[in-house]
Amino acid sequence: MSKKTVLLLLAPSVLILLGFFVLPLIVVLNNSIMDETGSITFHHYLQYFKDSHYLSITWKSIKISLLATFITLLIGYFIAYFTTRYIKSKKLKRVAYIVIISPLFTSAVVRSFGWMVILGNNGFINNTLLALGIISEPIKLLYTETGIIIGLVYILAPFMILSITTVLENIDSRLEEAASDLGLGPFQTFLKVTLPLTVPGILAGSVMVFSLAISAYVTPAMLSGGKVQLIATVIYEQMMQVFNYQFGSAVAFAVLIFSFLIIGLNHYLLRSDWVEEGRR
Amino acid sequence: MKKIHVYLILFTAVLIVLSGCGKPIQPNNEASGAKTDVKNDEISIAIFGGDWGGAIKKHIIQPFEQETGIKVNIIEGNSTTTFSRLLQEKSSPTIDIALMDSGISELSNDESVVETIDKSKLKENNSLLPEAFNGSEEKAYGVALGYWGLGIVYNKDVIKNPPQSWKDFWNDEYKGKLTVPTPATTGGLPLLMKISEIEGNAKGAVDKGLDKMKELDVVAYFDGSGAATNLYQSGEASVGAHYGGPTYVMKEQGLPLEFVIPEEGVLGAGSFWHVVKGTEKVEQVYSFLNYATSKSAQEGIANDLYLAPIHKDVDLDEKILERMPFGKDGSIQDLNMPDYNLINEHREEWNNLWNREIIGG
Amino acid sequence: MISKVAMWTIGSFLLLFLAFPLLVLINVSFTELNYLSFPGEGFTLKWYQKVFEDASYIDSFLYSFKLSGVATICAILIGIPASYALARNNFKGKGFVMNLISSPLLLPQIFLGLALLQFFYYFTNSPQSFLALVVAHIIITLPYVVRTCVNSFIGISPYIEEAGRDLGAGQWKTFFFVTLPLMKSSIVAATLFSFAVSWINVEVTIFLTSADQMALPVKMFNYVQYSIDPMIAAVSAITIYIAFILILIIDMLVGIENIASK
Repeated sequence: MSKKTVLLLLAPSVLILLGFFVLPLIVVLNNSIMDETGSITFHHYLQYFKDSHYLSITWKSIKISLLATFITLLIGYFIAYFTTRYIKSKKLKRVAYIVIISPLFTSAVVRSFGWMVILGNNGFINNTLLALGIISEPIKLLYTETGIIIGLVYILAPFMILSITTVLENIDSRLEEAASDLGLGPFQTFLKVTLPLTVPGILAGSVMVFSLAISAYVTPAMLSGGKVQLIATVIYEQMMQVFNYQFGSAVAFAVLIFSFLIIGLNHYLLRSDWVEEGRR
Repeated sequence: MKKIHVYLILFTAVLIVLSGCGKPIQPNNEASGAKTDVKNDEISIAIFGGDWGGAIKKHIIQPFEQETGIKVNIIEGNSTTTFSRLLQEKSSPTIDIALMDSGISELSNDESVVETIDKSKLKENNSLLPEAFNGSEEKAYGVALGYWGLGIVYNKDVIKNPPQSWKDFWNDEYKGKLTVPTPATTGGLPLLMKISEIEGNAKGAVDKGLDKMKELDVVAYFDGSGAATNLYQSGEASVGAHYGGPTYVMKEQGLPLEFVIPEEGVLGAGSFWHVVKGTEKVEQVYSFLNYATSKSAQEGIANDLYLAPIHKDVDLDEKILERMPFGKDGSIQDLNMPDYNLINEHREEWNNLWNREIIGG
Repeated sequence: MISKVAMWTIGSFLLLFLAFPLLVLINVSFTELNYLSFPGEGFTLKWYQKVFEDASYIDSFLYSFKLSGVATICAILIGIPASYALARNNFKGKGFVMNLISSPLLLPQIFLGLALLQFFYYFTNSPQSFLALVVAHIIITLPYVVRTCVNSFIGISPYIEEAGRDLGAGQWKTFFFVTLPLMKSSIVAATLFSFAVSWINVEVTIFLTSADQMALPVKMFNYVQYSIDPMIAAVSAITIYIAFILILIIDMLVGIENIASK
């Protein structure tokens, strides 16, 4: 492809992002390094980086997001593998896809209320377990970090599943057959052939899921019951409750940098190792 | 066959794009309208959502539109989103009238995004209670929609000993069944201030109150009226704080809930109409405020939302009177009105303390 | 055999996990009680009736549909060429472009919403317009389109395209008649992601929504802050039905079982 063509193809996306994303952010970045008199200050950034409270919340948010991403990956991969490889009937496959896709379309606001009904102390799970005599006191699921993770995994699973199924369906089945002809067991075939080939899907899905998890506001806000604070809720609070836009912007930028580092690391680890093996 | 599909998709795509983008950007764009030619036959008003929005539309906006012929563009939101918008649009607002709650109302005055109310332009001025205005005697910046307050709620099927005072929240019986507000909702900081006062803190300090709040065994905190309603509805919480109006709405829906006016009094708050600074539709704005403060509007709002009216002549049923935030025979003066200016002074600090002390890292 | 049974058990269980909250919502939307409780009692359509009687809900549905439709189509139209260029070329600044396109994903959206409000306000004086919303939604949906499509383009061997060109088809013809058809599944997935992300967005939309046109998720968000009743369950149940219908349309067009295959 000629340089001109590449430029032409990229231009619309890059221009719209530069114009309506980068530029607005620069305006805000500008705000975050200004004090009231208009001179430059890093006060807001220092306020964030010097405060162990905010740093520990950031760390907790990263931990929860990574954990949610990892669990989503396990569950998502399983569902993707199951739907593409085990469900043979067209009708069942149709049902499976409907089930996978429709959660995407219900707003997080209302989905969270569904969770309350399911996970609450008086919720479906606790009532069932109590009735069966498995537990004697309700387990606390809602309003804990566990509850937030469950909610995030649920909401983000479709992104992971669809990212992986698109790759999984396109793997040449002869590769897997060839592997078993060479004497590899089904599990080994999966590990040595299928899994490495799906790395691009895993990567795309994980990046999406992690990004959405770390920036999610509505789900954590509703499932935390005010008992757990994450960095996105801090940013929201700074913006919408105490109206300190400068500090809110500073925190958002700091988190953006952290996220880039994590995603970059993830790319580096997965690219260098697995993709190559898959190509071989 | 495949080709046809591609063309079909492309065709629909182009069609949708054309139908969407083809139209002018917004024929009734308020901002550009305000700059070039002022459209006197419409007005933009920020109100709340849910049944609040429904009642305001029914009792104020619809009669106003019908009788004056002025079209109202409604912007639904809550006080904080409306306030954020006003802050961003400081120089030429797209909103003419904004409804905001106590706390945010005072903030909007501090940030000078709202105008002083010219009381002489209000038709019903003489029949309004002094509480109808927020601000000082000389400089009022808010006209009340009505007053409401944070009180105590319990589920009579679950709770054997109903609480009488805020102090009762620490009873053993309520452990794990309780909910109280976070600073995010209007009643949050007033409650924290009240508890601090009970615990012996001086004005403007909340450390003892926070220590006491930390001991509470709550099932969850609520950051808004809807969240609280949901906690009581689902049975997750069966005792705690809540606003009066929504509690009575739930009671009407058939839930076994009771509202208690605490010994210390309900923590009062109001919702106020504000004239946005820079609006060029002064005449329409006051015409609307006249409808909002009329006897019939005030009665309608009191009947639907159980808000205490600010019109002297309203006639309310026995049942509605019992459900006023100050109880049957009280008046707005009986509400325990927190000093919202003091709260605003400490808003950021107390929020911060709450996050560190109550939620933790 | 045992592993097969195990796979089916776990697989069905996980799919049920995905379906359950939706079933709860649908169940509650038919309840005769006046509050949310699961399982609901009785069967009534009154909550749906209430939704349909309120013209503002119908308006919101249509408005959201138009918004998400236009934004998705624009995102696809500009995202696919970009993905193609990114997948097929190595050039200086490729990493930068990739990161640029992904970054809207990483910002808490409330932040983006306020930034765009400030920005549009500063430059156009009319921050709330349909066009502003479309632009904002393109920005939040573009990352999904590009993320999804770049991978698929990488997965399509360049040799296939070379073969197309060897057979005399030009670069553009090859792209439209060889490469793009192979991309069908990814384009469908990208469309779904993008439409869904736009359809449920509250945080950005809330600041750019103009006075008389309220996107559905914003309307719902405002509603649940003040009242919570089975009507809101009915509204979200309706969005689930709409999702069903959309999926069925996709099914008719491309075959849903092909959604993830060539």
